Amino acid sequence: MAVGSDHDGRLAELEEQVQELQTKLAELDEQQVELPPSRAERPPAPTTPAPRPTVWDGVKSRIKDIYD
Amino acid sequence: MRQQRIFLLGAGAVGSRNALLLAEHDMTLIVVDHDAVEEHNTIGDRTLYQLGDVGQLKVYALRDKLAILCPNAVVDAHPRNVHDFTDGELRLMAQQCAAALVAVDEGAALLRLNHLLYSQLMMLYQGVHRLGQSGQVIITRPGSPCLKCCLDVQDANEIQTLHHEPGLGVHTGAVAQLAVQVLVQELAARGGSPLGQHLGENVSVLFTSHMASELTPSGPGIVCFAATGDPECEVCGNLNERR
Repeated sequence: MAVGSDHDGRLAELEEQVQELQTKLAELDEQQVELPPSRAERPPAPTTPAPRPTVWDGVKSRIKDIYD
Repeated sequence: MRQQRIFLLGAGAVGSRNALLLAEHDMTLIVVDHDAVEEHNTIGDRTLYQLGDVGQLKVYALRDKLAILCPNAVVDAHPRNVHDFTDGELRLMAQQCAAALVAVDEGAALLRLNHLLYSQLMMLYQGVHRLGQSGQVIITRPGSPCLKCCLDVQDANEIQTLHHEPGLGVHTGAVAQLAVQVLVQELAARGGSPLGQHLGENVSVLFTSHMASELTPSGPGIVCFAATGDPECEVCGNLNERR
């Protein structure tokens, strides 16, 4: 059984695949594909806005400062 | 109204004007204030006091003034600080009265009065804001939100006294008049509540603006607010639950 020739054939096949992948990688490098920013670089997710102060809130802050 | 006795705490700019208006309604007054009249109290029309009263204790100067202006006025004068009365003494004096008008601007005294007297009688707390541009009358009754809840404060440090404010007599007078007006109407109603009927059952805070403002764009006016009582409040919490 020609075991050695089978190995050679498989090796050649794998080398060919590696070559293809390297070519694709080089192409992607050339295209400068933009990757998504890392978590730290991402802008903060929009949060629920704080409730708007009511008229009563404004009055409450005022009625604590008094003179008689 | 002669039989009606009113507990008046504070005899300064607002309190002295309260006293005159109440005396004009023939009410009997129990007045508490430990201060003496100082020269700055007599500038312009800030209080009822005049230069000749400087150095005299306010409660006595006020009693003398009312004896001239309203000869039938009955004034029981107490020249002591609110803090110098025991709890029992304050409660006893309140027991003799139909309502209390508070014209004190010290946080600790205000919260002590609220704590001690809230469940006994109707109380009207008055204050004037910065430069006299606006003021307030806070009304508490057993069952309604107490002063602590109306002001939304946990302790006395959150209440700031505005010292030596150059408010005019017309400003302090407007607050004093509003409080007495509400008081007289409420007492005259004998059971009904004109305040509740006309302004809403839950109204506790009357904010009075003395000029056109965001709240009163058309000019001077009164805006009413319903404060919310804290069910956990140690002063009014239980009474609110029972309501």
